[in-house]
Amino acid sequence: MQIYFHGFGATRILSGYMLEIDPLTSIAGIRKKLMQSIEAQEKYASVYDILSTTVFATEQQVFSDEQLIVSDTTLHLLPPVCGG
Amino acid sequence: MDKPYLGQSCLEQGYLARYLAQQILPEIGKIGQDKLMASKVLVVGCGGLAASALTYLTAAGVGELTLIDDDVVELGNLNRQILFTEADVGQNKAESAKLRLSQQNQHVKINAITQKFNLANGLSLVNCHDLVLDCSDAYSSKLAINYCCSLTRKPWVYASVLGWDGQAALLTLHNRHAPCYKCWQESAPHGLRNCEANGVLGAAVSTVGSHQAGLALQYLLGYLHNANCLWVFDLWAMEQKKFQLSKRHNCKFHSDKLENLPFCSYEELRLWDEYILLDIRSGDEWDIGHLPQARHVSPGILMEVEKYYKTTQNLVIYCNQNTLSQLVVENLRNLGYRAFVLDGGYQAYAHLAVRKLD
Repeated sequence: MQIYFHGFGATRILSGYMLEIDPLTSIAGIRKKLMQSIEAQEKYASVYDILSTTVFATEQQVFSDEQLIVSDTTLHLLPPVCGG
Repeated sequence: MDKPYLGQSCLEQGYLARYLAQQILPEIGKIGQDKLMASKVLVVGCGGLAASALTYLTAAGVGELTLIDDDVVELGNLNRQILFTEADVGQNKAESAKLRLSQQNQHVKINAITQKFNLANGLSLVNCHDLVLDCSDAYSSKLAINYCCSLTRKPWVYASVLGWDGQAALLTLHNRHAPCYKCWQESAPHGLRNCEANGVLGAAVSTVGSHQAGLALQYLLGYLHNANCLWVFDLWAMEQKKFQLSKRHNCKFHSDKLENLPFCSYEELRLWDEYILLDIRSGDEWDIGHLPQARHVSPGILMEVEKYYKTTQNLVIYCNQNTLSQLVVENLRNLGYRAFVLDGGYQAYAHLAVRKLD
């Protein structure tokens, strides 16, 4: 299945990025694949570490790491923010 | 809405004139305005988010606002912390904000606490307010708010900003099925993800703070249609999205039931071979008087209870009227401890207390 990414904030650079992933992969699995995929690419260096604590969401719903993705979709990347 | 009539006092007419523009909204009206004026809101952190949020809550006539912040105003804050001026540099933020907001609306009772919000002072503060606004700038503060609100089952409005982006969510933790902060933000952000380290746009802070005020006012008015959703703002792309949040089944921050908590009386304790009696009231209350053999601990003891006590020990907890002690005992039992509530709390046994003057 094809997973497209749309990034907010620090992950904005990943907007439009696409991965081919097996159906029924969990969010944790997709996170791992995404991190492996960008690890060697210098232009994504600034976002690599942030991905480990970034929240993934579909169009309507925030997902936990255990959630399985079953078909093509766009995942929104919501990086942690702590300023006030 | 009714127009002012001759029999009304000047005070009532003043209220009417001040709030007329919002009172004519069908979602508010006189009943809604009365609800706002009877509400008490705790605001944690008095920086950029609070500047917008507090301005609108004060203007809307929320009855009582308690501001807590131990930080002082710095020149580098002024690009976004628009409650303050150059004259406030070096002053405590909670005190300065109180001064400014009191000038804005004299009818709002404003309290300033010049301390850092933490587990030691947080539980009792949260417990005596209707709603908490998270305007803090640290993950640890957000965790402390989440923890105190989970324990006391109080709703809170989370918000954060960074760069051109922000997030906000009304978490209705008085509802046992509602998600908490840890349900979606499971681990601490990697590295420093705050405004000082990464930069922030004042307009982004103001947008999120205004949104936070909107969520707070909706809750205080009794509207929950935007509860338990994460709002994400991107001022660079000029977009915002709303995502539904749900309770994570294995989230340890939730407590599902208060029923069937074990109570014991002070008289019963004399029959026990071993027990540890813990007083979780404030330090001042402890100083005035406490029960014999008791140890004074902060309600925040829960966060590191394993450092001090074993799960095989009988822990007997009391506060004044057992409001907080029931919550603490419930959480201790969830963590596997043999915890008990002292029936009647301190007030039932105050006549036995060791007093300062004794």
